[in-house]
Amino acid sequence: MNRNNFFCYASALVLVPHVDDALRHGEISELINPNVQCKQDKHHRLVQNGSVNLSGLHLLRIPAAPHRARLVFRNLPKREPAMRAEVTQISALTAAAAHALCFAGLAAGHALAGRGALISNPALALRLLVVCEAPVVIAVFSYLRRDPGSCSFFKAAARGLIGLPIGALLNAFGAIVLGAPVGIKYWAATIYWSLLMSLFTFVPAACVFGASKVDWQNVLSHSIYFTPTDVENYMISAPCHGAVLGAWLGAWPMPLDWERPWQEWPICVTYGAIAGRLVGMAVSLVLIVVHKRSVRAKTD
Amino acid sequence: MGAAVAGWTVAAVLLQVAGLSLFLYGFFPVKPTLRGFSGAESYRMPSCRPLSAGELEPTLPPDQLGSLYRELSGIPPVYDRLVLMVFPELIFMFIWFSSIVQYVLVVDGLPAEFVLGRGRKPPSKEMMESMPYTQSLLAGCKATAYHAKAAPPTVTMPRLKAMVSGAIGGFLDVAFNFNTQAFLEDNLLDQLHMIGRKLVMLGDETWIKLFPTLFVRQDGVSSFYVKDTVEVDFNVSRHLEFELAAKDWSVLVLHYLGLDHVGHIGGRQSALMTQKMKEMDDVIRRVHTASLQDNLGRTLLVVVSDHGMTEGGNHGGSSYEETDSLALFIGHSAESPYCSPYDQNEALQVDLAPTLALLLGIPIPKNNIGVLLPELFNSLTEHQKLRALELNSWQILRLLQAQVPAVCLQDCINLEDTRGFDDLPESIEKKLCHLLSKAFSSHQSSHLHRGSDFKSAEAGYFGTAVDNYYGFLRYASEWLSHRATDKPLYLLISAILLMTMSCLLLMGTASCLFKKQSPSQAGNHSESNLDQGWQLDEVFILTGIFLYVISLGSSSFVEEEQYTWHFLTSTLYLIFLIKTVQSMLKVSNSTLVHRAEGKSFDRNNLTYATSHELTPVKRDGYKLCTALIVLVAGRVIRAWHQGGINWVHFPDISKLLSQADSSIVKSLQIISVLAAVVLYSVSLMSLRTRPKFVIWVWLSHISCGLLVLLHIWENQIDASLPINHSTTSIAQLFYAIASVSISVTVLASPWIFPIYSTDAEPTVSYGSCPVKHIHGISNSVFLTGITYTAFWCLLQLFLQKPINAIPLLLIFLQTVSSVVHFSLDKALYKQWVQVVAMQFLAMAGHFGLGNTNSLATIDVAGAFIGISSYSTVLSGILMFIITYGSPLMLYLGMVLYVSMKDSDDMCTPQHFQWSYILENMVMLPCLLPLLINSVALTAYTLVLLLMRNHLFVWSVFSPKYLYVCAATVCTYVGVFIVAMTGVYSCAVFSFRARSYRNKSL
Repeated sequence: MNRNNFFCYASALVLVPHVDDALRHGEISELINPNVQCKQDKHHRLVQNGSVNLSGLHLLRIPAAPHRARLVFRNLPKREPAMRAEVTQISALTAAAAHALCFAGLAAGHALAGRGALISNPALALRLLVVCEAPVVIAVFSYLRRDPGSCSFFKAAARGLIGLPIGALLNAFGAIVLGAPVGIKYWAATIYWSLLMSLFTFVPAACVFGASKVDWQNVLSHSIYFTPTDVENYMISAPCHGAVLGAWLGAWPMPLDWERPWQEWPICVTYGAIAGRLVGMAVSLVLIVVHKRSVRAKTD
Repeated sequence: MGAAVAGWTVAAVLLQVAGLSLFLYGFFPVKPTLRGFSGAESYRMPSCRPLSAGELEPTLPPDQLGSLYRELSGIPPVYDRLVLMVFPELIFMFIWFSSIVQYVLVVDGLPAEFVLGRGRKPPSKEMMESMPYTQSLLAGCKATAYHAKAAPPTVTMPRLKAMVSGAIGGFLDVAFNFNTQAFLEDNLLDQLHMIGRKLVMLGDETWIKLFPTLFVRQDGVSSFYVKDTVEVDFNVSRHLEFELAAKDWSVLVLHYLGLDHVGHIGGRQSALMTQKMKEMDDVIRRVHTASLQDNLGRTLLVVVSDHGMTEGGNHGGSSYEETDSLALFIGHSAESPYCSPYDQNEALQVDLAPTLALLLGIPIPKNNIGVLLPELFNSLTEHQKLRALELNSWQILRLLQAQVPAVCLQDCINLEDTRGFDDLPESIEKKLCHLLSKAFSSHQSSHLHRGSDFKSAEAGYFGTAVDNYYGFLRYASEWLSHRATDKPLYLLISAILLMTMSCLLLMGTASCLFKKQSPSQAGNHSESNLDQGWQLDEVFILTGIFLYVISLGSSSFVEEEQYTWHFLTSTLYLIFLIKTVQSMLKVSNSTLVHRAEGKSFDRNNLTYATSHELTPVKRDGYKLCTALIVLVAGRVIRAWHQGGINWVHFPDISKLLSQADSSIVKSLQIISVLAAVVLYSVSLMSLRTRPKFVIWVWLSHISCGLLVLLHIWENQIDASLPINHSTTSIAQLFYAIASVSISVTVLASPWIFPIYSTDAEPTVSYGSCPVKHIHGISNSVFLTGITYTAFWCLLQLFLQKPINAIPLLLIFLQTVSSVVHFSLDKALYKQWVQVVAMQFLAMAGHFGLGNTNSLATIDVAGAFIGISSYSTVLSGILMFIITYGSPLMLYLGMVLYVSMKDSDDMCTPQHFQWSYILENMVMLPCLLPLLINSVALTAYTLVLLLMRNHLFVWSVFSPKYLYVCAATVCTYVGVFIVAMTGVYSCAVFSFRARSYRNKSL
């Protein structure tokens, strides 16, 4: 970490997941940039106290006094530590099971549609995929919601249901701006495709995070791959990024003159998105395992 | 620092220019062609001096011309009695031929292998069975067939040109003649037309494009619907009955496309193939039977294919399967007593031209490099054959003289006298000379021995003469064709090395510039969240450019390049949108923190609030809106022209509008003009200080807008008249007003804006001075930039096709929006990202205006607006302006962008130096376009070199290369404008500041 840096990398995974929440609740009175040495010192001490895990979730700009680094946390033990611990410590196994369930939903949809249905009748196949995938995704990610104390399962599921059309709208906008055809004969396919993309990208985050700005910011940014973060962030961001990237790459063969039926909108884009999501799931599992291991090594 | 960077940049540009011209010279050899048509002089021995204009024959009426040719071909000046005796049959034959009917049956894409087999083996059984009539003709020695090897761009139009002119055209011939598709070189059909033959054409409309006025009757079919294999041929055959009965023509061209279409659909082994071959065989049978009824056997039926096909049915390249085309002659002169039809009878496709020319009694086309096919002159006497070979040699000698002036017949003969025959000549000229004189002398000796009684001796002399002639002709023909297609590899590689060096030099300069700027940027842009590490947009830009460079290697992606650019640009602006949303989330976060911290320190936010007079919420709103405007406008532009090659027939807005009423297009044009004027006025409003001068510029812009409206109106009134006098004068008035007001603005704007703004007197504190300087210079550059862009937009509206009005307006809007977007939050993106984003917009807009990578989409009609007399230079400039309207607009927008650059950076006193301001303003926006262009140019040059034997090198890659070269020129022009404007404004302001300070002291 650069000594001249103006940023403070601080996070409190176990007890203070959101720095702005913490600030609002007066848990953190002052956040000052720790340089490398003092961060290690703090880290050491705080870990010994068993309450804070400094692993760099948030970046906050502290303009004043960059050299007097100090972290002072107040009133930390007041906020139900047990509940927090339960939620954030999603095991790798749980994550794998969640991903497996989502994959099973897709597989079921595909099996229902039959082989080659996506090419011969993309709208129908996409509709089946959406119908099969939607309940699975909403149920799985509502179960994994971030704040189970204050938010019931059904509230999270409702968030997911509201998020579905909003995400579809955003995805459709993106696709059309990137050149998806807008003719009437493509409408049905575009709608179902964007619903599916919404299930891949928007709905999981909506179920888990609700309206938490910081978490949304994390989903949008790519910093999670470089700085350690929550298990949920890995679980949501990586497959979401994978799906978008896959869909983007999947559009490249469309203008070629191979005259294959799958070059039509939205077939190859759907293939790309599904493939990208599967890769993203695998990446997220790997990241989770690596993360768990490093955390365990540190606590040991 | 600045001077060094400028110096290195100029050096890199010069290197690039050198490399580019070297490559162009090496890759597109310009072979000298002979203009005009062969006339009577082609029957005389070529002299060493070039013909002067006075020696040209007077133009004769067609009949006389025909008889003159007949006469001349038989009567060379020295031997006039002899010829009457020796060449009676030839003369007779030519008289015959003046009433002869000739059929040329072109079967598109028929490989010779199907008819003649390969390597001395007869074709496969199905093929034999599918063409029974033709095979019976071949077996009965009633026809002569050749494997006619076609030259590499095995696509229809160049092949047809080669067949009728006998020349292999260079690529640049096509490029230089792109304003007309009509074939202007000397060729068989024009020659036939000149001696008054009637020509009829049925089939592929390429013939009509090549020869728009020659045919008395024509029915063109389009090869557009490749899926159709039945209708195309039916449309040809339906006229056959009538034409065969009519008999008023002397040349009938039938061009069947169906077989090519079958190949494109199913390849060589397609189930439709045998059926199609049967159909073709039936056509041959019908025509041949009709010609036999026409007694005397004066009819020649030539069945040729313009190219072959690969196993998959494609063509365009240079493999054996594609170049193996058929030439089949059916007629009495092609008959021979014995034959073996499946011999590998090799010929070149260009050999068709001289053979047919001599058979039909017309001069051989001037640029022909083909050689007579001997078997077709079986019905002539030996001396007639020699005469025919002599004519062919003279013609080739003329062509040689045009390319190598040293080759000259008399000199050759003299040379041979002194040196003797057996010396082995070393240079090519000498060798040609040697072969030529050998041929002519053996011809003469065979003449001398003609009267002798010894038949065997005569035959021997004749044999040597023929051999010597063919020795010369083959060698010369091969040499000429290699000159047209050979590329010197070393030259090309060294050219690429030069370009790579220039590219690396530019990269080095840019990285040096970055290194210098990054510390200052890190200090100033503490706002950005992740300072170290790559941002999403930066990674994307690098990936995008990499993907683009990779995609240049695929012909499909080159054909459909517009998809790449639209996709990349939209993605980039989507990323900008995401980053904007992200920063909004973050800003609301940090305000929370600030609130918690009690707002004790926030100098930066304070300065923002004061300097921009915008609340953060409003600013975020503007940021979102501008990004959305760019995205939506980009989508509309994308939908305006389908573009490309393969999907060009898909519906798009321009097609919809062209089918709709013309008043809609007019009203859209008027709307765009008005919107451009309004946008300009609004931008002028945003100037903080408005001297009177601005109002004058504004008025001149409005008057220009009115002129454009008037122009549109005039066009509506008489759309029938292409060149209208009042239109021309309106255009000239427009050019005059626009150029005067732009140059006055550029020259005057640095002088009129106050160096120090009126509200803060500079004498109080030194620290505030530089900021005011910067404001003065930003204002003046802003005025210049917006004036450039707005006038450019009007000029484009004036020149472009009416249908492009809305896309032009949208590009203008995109330019302004993205400049506003970048200026609203300077810390969000790095500066180079912003410059590259504008480059991306430029390319997307370029394709959005309907340009493609084929030369066909260049708008030639607009290039003559406002030019009263024909001038190649002026219309060339206008054509360039039209084609590169969008990139140049973005370069002019770059001036605007430069003025919006963060002036707050430079308020510290140590930064207050004019050279520093200049560097900061102009350096990056000039260097980056050059760098990107250099990368694209170098990569594409390499691609072209690697693809030089590819199928589509002439049809896809080479036209694209011309576009890349033009884009390089466009980059130079744009960068020059940006740099000059910046340098001039800075110089003026520094001068004024110095004189002001002196005065105040």
